[in-house]
Amino acid sequence: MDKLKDYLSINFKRAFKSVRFNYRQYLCFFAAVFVVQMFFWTLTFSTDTDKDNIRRVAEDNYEHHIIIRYMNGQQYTILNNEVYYSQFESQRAYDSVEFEVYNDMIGRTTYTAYVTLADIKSAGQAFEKDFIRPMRVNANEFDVTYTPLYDYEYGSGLTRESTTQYWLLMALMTVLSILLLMALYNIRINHYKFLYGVYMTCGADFRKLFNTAVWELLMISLMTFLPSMIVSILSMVFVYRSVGVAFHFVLSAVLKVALFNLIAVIFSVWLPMKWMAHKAPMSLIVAQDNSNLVTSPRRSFRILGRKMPLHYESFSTWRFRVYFVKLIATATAFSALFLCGLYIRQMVMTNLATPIEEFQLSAAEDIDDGTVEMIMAVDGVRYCWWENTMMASLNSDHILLTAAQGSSAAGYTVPSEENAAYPIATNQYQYTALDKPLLDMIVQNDLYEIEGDPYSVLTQKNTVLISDSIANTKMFDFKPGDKIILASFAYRNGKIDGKQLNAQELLRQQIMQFGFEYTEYTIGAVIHNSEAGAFLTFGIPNDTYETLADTKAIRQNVSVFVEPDATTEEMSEANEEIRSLMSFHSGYKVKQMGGHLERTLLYMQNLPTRVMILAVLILIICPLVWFFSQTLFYAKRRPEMDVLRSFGTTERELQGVHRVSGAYMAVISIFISLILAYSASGLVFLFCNRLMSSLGIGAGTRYEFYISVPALISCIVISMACGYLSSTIPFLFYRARLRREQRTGVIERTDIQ
Amino acid sequence: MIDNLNKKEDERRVILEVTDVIKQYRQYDAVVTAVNRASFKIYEGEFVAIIGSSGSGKSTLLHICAGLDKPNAGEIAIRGQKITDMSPDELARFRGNFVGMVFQTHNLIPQFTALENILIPTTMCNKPEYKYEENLKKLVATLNIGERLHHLPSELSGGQQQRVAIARALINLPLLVFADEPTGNLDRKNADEVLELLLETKRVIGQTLVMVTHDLSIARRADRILKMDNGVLSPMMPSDLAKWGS
Repeated sequence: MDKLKDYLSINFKRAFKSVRFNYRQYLCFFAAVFVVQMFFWTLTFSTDTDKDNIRRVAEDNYEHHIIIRYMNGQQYTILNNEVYYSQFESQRAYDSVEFEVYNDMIGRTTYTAYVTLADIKSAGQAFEKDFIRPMRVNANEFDVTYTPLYDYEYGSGLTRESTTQYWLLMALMTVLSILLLMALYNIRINHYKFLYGVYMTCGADFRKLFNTAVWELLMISLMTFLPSMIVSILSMVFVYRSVGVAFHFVLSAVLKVALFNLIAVIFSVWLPMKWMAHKAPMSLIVAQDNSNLVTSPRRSFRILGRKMPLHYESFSTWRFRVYFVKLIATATAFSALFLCGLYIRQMVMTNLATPIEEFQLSAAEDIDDGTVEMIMAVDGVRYCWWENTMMASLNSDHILLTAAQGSSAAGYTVPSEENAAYPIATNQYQYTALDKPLLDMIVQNDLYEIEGDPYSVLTQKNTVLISDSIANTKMFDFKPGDKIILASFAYRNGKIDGKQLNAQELLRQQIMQFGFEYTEYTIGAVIHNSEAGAFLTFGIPNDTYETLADTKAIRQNVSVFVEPDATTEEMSEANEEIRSLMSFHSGYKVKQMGGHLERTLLYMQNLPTRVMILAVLILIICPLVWFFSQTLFYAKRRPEMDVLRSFGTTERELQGVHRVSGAYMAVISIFISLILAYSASGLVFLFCNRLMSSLGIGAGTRYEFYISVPALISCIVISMACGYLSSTIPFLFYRARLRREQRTGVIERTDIQ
Repeated sequence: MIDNLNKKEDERRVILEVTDVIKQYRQYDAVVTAVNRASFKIYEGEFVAIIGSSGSGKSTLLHICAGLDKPNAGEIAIRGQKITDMSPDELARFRGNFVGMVFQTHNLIPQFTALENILIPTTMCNKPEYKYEENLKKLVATLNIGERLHHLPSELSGGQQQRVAIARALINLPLLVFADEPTGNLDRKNADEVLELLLETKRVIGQTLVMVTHDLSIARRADRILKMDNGVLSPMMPSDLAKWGS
């Protein structure tokens, strides 16, 4: 123990001296470590507060752990008996079970049980086994709901989601922090190669270099730990207070942040130091000036007759081009990440504004129009949705398209010779039954961006409402009035082995082996922004659907979507009203999905502001990188400026050298900023909109490509300003030094070691 | 005899006149006098060596004479123009037009090739009456660096770097060349070569050369030797050189 104490004490003292002595060199690292710690604090504090919110909401709104609905008399008796017989057991699974009796309008009686478990960790499964399972012997399907209170106490549902999300985000932030610190450390190593070369000549190996660097960064981390915590707490208090939620502090946050900080520090130093330790010391020592940053020319410029400072610095900039491009790319990458943050914020806001699927209605037969209309009229309900769909491939059907219609959907189509005018075939679509109420729902609630008249499907023969996207991406080029051919399976000529084939290969075989009946369809309307999914919508009237799909189009399941900003009280009333309306019919059931509760918690998280704070923190890194690198770069150019001065360059011309360089930096940074901003946002778009939807994650949401133009302009302006100022401010220091020298007569050292 | 000598000297044109120059540095609480009331004249076409032990103030004196540093007191005139009265920018332009400087460390600019480094002074002090191409050819031939012109400084040897630095100092055809231990970082063979080249270019172009050195074999070849000792400058006879060296 004493040994460890001594070890820590010696290393921290040594690191403290080094950091204090070279504090100017480390200013940038202070800022960077502060930002990194802010990442960690922000995420940790917000997760702790969110979990506390889940607890409060669950405890405020739910008294029971399990609700069992729609039990018939026999099931009620079974459950009641089980409860009765076990009531005197010392270790029974439940604390209390309360029953409610419902008599619906047609005289049918159903029972509801509200269960409070004794010990949530062990009793949940025991209750399922001993109390719920015996009721399943009866054919009647009852509905078991585990409430958010159960989820919270058991650590499942939203609580588990929140914990998983926390560790994933912390891992992501750690990677980002490592990249940031590594970028800065690389800059430092690049400029201090000479010094490291001298250390290595004197016997410093990887271990020594690594240890020194890690302890120095840990020292910096220690110094910024408390300030970053205080700033984070203040910002989190602001975030949560703005949505009326109390900030919740958990002491374990300190340990978590310290741990992730340690990981980030160790890994960010390890790789650059490993890379350097493999270098020959001489290759580092020769880099005393900026010669290691020069891109070899092999050809000289025609310098004769050229002027200071424009030509001089233009040539210099060209020779330092690789260094400049790397620097600009590194710095602007962080502004591109800021834009990605804003994009994610936009996605969060899109999600928050989307109606919530809160209730699912089900029935053994068709849910009638009147009930749907009455439910639509309930306060807080936005719209109802139902669908009857069937994949065309199950029927061995396909559609034939013109070359223009399917030219960009190569991954989903196969060539076909069935009709020369329609050389492309696809079975990546599903038949969807349409009726007037459903079309009214779509049109009145503006659910899709539709081109053409969707009602033409009902009024004109062989007319289809078709979508053009697969996995959130426009793949087909359809226009209202276009013709397509529906090839419906008619007979079999030969046999195919579908087990070994992928979807396209299977269709190719089907076209060869099967016979089809061809019907020309007119596209009545096109849906341009259908949700993610692997199939096109092929919308047809109910009767046509029943013919093609060979199944009845009935409204057996209806989803009820509620307003995104509906209050808890509104939802409670809506729940009562919908259940009351549904009780008019035999076999109609209502299931509450809990979407509204999730949305309430999401509002309480104030995610848009939190994402904004993280994005701004990332943006702060951009000027850090600029100024850190350029300060070191120009410090090494001071001897060059002295030489120019000794050969007759005036102060104004030297200023011009810096200004020209700054102007180049500013101009180049515009292009690199634009390229990186669009590339990064494009990657986010592809990831969230395409990759995630193709994996079935968040498949219901379709995001538009988004770059906030004011933010983009701000980023460009910041990059330009940083580029220009990081080149021109060093001249102010140089001039101040000249002035001091002139005043005091003392020549100051120009090196940066 | 002495009167005659003085008369003969005065007939020659003075190119550098240093009068009562004092340079002091403050080091913590102590004041160090690097140059203590130095006064001397240098005539056109002369080769003057300033010798002295390390830290004696000879480089400081050279930098002051070249206008790279300011004295605390005293005057310096080059061709009758008092450089101590000039503004920093006037002085910079003056240096560009009339003074060439060869540093002990070559101080080549890393991002420019040898050829570009040589031509850099022309970008700021272009003398239209001069034909730089001819001068460049002459310098390149004399300094034997023709094959290395398109290489970066980091790709050149120490001797080659110093030759490029000399060519750079001479490209503007300065009247007065200051060299601060130009052979200090070179081996004997390279040092002799560089000295020969400096003397050769001095002869070809007709410049005045003031060189700081502690290499006695170089000092012996000077027209005159000035000795610096703890900031105090004094003339030195060649006969004293052997004694000083020992």
